[in-house]
Amino acid sequence: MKKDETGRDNIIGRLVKNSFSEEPSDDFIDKVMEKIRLAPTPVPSQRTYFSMVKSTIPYLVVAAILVLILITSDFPVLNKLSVNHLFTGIFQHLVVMGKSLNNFFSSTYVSFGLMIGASLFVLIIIDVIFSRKRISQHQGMV
Amino acid sequence: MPAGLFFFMKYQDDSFYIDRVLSGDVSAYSMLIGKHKTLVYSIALKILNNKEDAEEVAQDCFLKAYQSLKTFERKSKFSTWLYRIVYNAAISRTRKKRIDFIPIDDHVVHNYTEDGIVTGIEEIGPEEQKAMVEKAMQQLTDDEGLLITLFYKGENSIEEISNITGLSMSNVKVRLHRIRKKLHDALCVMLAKEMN
Repeated sequence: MKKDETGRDNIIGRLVKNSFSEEPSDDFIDKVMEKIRLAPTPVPSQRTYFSMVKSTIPYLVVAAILVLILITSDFPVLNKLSVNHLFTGIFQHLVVMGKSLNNFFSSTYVSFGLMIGASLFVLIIIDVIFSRKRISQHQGMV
Repeated sequence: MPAGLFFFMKYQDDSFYIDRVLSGDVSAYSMLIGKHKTLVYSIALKILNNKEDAEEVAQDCFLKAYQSLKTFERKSKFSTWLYRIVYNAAISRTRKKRIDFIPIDDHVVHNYTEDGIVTGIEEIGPEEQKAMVEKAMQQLTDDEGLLITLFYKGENSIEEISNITGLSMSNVKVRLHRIRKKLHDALCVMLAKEMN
């Protein structure tokens, strides 16, 4: 930039800085503070129980699968742990357990009870969701 | 606190008031409003061209900034963050995507060699100076008025103006250069008329 341009820019800057500024109304600050007083305080969103479970379950499942693979595999290093024999035939046990659970849930009385339980669970979830909305609306009116 | 008192007060750094507000002293926010209200209002006014709308947008923006103060990460200046809120709110109010920055090539910028402004402007009184600059600033388009206000009155850097308006830094730099030339040109014409 040329020297005369710098001098010119400086004087333009000084003139603009000192020029008249449009001001808001005299009670501007009071009006904003009043709006702040009347506005609802933003409530930080809380983590619900379900979101916590949702974020924890995948880690637990992955960890369980890894443990299962490790203890049922034939890695030489695991022989040194001397606990490998405890899990020998674990799949047979799981199959037996699955079959007994299958028999249990296929019985008429248990499936009837499960249906009632599931319906109650859905009703509770709906109630929780709607009551949460009512609370936030109430906070907004304060 | 009466608004007139702010005139006599020297403001502290923004972070001082922000810390106080965040620790529960809501009244400290009035100091932040007092410190920035003129420029916030000016930005809104330059975009909206309506005093009532500008005042309403400026008030809403201070409220929004207060409610979002916890999310302000202090990576930039508070003023830059606040002006960006105002800029976006005013643009939304006009239902435009962004302010119509006129392409710089469309401007007719005169080449001049005279050094008239530097000497001539000193010869007139301060009130006349103010009136003349005001008249010259009225000849600027909205976007030009906004940029020059942010740069000189808001004392924002080119990078900060770029963050506020979304224009590239080189674009802001070139535009400011052209606006200064345009203002100088207008002032020279006015001074020449005054001399005659």
